[in-house]
Amino acid sequence: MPLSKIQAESMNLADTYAFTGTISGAGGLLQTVVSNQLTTWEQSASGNSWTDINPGSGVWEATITPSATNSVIIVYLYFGFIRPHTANGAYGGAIRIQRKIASGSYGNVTDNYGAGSGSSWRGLCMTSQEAAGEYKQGLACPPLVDTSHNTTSVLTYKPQIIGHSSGYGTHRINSGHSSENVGGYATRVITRMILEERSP
Amino acid sequence: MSTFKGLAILEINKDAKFTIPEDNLDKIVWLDGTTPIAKSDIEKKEKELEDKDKENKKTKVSGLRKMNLTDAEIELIYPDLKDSL
Repeated sequence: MPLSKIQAESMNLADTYAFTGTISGAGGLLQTVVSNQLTTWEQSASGNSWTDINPGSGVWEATITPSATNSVIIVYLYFGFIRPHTANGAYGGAIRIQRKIASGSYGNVTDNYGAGSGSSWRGLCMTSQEAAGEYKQGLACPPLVDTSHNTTSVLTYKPQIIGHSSGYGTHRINSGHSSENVGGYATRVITRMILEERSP
Repeated sequence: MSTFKGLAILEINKDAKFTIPEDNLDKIVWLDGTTPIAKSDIEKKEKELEDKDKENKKTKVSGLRKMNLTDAEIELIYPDLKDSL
């Protein structure tokens, strides 16, 4: 079919266009998957090893099946609330996201950017940092951009958490307090993972 | 309601892996082969931690008052000490 170049002003933007092929080269959105965690929970998280995030119903995972081997998967991870909870009050923690292809093993996608420093691990963001005996909220996690999946098999992503130092403690997620409906600080919120597949 | 459930468990077994949904010990999920701990033992330790926390807060308030801070100032700077004033 001969190629026709159509200028934007030649298109009627009020019309509906039904594309049957793949749009490439423009970073177009191909599909979106959303996984929400609505419960509140407190879970153990040591500082010695990474722990799967588990609201009590099983390890939190989200899956997406790429339509092309060279597509880009962007993982957005939003915690409405996450905070270390220890007897002494002020401690930190970090988050990373792992990926597995089909029934393979999980690997640290974040490490595509290299190790943190020397042999240290790299996380995606921090849940908080200690500051003068008080909590200091971490910033939002930057999106994970996965350009290395090279497959059209199902991809599974899961976030993991690590606690402060070599000590032990817990993290509270989706609620800052055991009581609810007693004010803003004790409000039940939402934690969400969004997977987007975009054309390269 | 207490905020010391998870910490109570870790005081009993620092290697315990678990999740407590909805702050409800009846819903606790033990992970990675952790041997379950009796609810009564957790609650007993929880009470100990609560009492210790109250004492720590009282000591802190006492120290702040000796520094000539008024209760209003203490509450403003340390909202978590409000119940210990």
